[in-house]
Amino acid sequence: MPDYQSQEFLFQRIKELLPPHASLVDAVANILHVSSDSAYRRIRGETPLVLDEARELCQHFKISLDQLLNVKEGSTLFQNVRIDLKNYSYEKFLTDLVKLVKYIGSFIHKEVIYLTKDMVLFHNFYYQPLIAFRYFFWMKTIIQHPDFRNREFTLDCVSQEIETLSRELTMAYNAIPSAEIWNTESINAAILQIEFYKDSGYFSSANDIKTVYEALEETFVHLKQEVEHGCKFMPGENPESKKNNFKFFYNRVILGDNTIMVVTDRIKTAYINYDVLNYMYTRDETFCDPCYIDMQNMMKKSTLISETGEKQRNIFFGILMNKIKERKKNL
Amino acid sequence: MNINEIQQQLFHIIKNKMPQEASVPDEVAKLLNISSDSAYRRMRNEKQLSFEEVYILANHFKISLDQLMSISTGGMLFQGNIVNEKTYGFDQYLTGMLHTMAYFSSFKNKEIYYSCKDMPIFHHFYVREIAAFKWFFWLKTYLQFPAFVKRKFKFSDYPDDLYKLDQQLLGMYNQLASREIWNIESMTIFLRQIEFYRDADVFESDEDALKLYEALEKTWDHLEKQAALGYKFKIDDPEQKPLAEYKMYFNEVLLGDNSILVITDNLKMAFMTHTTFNFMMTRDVAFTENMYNHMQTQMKRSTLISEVSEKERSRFFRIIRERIQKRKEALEV
Repeated sequence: MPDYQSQEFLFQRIKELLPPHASLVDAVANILHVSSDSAYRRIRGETPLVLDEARELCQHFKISLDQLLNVKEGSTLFQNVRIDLKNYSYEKFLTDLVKLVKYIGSFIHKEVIYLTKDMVLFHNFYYQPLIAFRYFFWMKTIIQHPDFRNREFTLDCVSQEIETLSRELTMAYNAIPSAEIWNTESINAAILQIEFYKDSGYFSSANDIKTVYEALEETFVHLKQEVEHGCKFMPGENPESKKNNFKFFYNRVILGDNTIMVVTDRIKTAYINYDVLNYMYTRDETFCDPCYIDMQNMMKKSTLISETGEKQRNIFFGILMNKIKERKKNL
Repeated sequence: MNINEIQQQLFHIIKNKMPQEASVPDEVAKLLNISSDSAYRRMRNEKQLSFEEVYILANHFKISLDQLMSISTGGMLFQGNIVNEKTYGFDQYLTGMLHTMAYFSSFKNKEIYYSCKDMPIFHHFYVREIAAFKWFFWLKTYLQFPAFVKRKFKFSDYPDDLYKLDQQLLGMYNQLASREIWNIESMTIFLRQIEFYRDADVFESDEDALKLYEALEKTWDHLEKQAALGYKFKIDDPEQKPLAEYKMYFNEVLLGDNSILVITDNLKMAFMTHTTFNFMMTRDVAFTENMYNHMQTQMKRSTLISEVSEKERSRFFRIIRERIQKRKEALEV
């Protein structure tokens, strides 16, 4: 018999898919109903896996054997998180995100780097009118939920549950250390979306447009305070009581792509955003390590404006505020 | 299906795949490096196949293990290289892209959808000055290759070999029907990069910035002509001989993410951009179908500005042209 290469490959993939703190041996022993010793022997390739066991493991971790065993060099396996109308609602998506962010927060060493194309997701949920608008826009225009097809936007469109969940997500994010790399263009999409709804007549009253713009404005006033203090907090909270956990970089030359790098106890996970809300993630080191280096390079090329760099900070937020003011003037 | 049935099913498929006169036990024994007797025991289900053995057989006879074992996966496999100084340089990045394009060309029907966060990469190759600038910017500022740290930008530094590759790529791209979804901000970052180099004294003089803006205008004029005609043609072709179809959509709501979908005879392939510059590809059916639907929705939400909608087309091209013009006027030349 040849050495157990495909077996080794399978265990390697499982290891990548496991939560960072989980033990591979325990997981394998659990799924296959064998002792830890027997699990060890399989992982080390001393005992060959039988077909049944391989199937159990693949089913459990949703691993494609065809893909796993025929892979060419340079392949990366991603797990997919996608909202769909039937099986994975927006509410479930938010709930899982809250869990995920809290889970990241449970590690002793953790680090989040967010390379923005658009406004960082977590900063959308400070003020009710913006929570409502984002929710409505995503439901109507992105997810295309049939219930929203003929509806106009009203400020009360969002349920109490969604509003609470949205805020909970931001609070969970606020508790973990993060670095965000922004460009002054990162705000454009948010503005364009309000403008699009205005032009398309999706607002039920002109006053609502103003209210949404004001909420966006307040959000950036608040964000500026967070950047100034170098920590994240909810409106009304006292920044002095928070840990310094927020680094904010002003990047002038590259608009990111909403890629998020999460490091938990030295294990890196890259989250790639696509189709506006959905994302996919991998822990594959050959992918994550160079991404991490790229992000570090990006930070070096950018200006740190949290806590320090007051002048640059004023310039950055001044540009954003002007963009909003310009639009408000035209109302 | 229980495991014995799977094993039976596997041998059944193998039998059907082999010539009638051939002996299945002999072939199995040979492949697994075991005696015919041992092979028999496996075929009669007296002994379970190991995972490794199943892999060897499935691989040899090209049998899908996922189908055989009814494995449904939530994972998706992506392939791609990441540009770096040592093992995958910029020339390899271009060559890799060239191979991919050649592969697309081998299909009878093919079409490429591009969701533009920035100007699609192929449009950087029409005018040499633009290709030279982007190459330099990516290597110096984005990838931070040590050899570029102290270098100033010079048009003449752009290697001929790379420009040749660019032209080959462009030739291939011109054979593919394209649909591009643009946003008014898709050119913003490019303009910002030129300004950044000006502020950081990376240009030798404002003359270079001017040259670059003029090259950009030339590219922009060409794109507008292509959009007006609804097909691609070579930038230096006075007869504007039609190549592949060109469709341009103006989306006012969403800025794309530089994702690309290629649709061939029966297959869709999705390319995702990550860390702003690198690409990775998947053929995962659920993923590509989702991207296809997403792009279709975006197109519906956009205005088609190629061939039709002259007014909107003029507005789109005019806004960008004015932005370039304004920057040109600010130069000290």
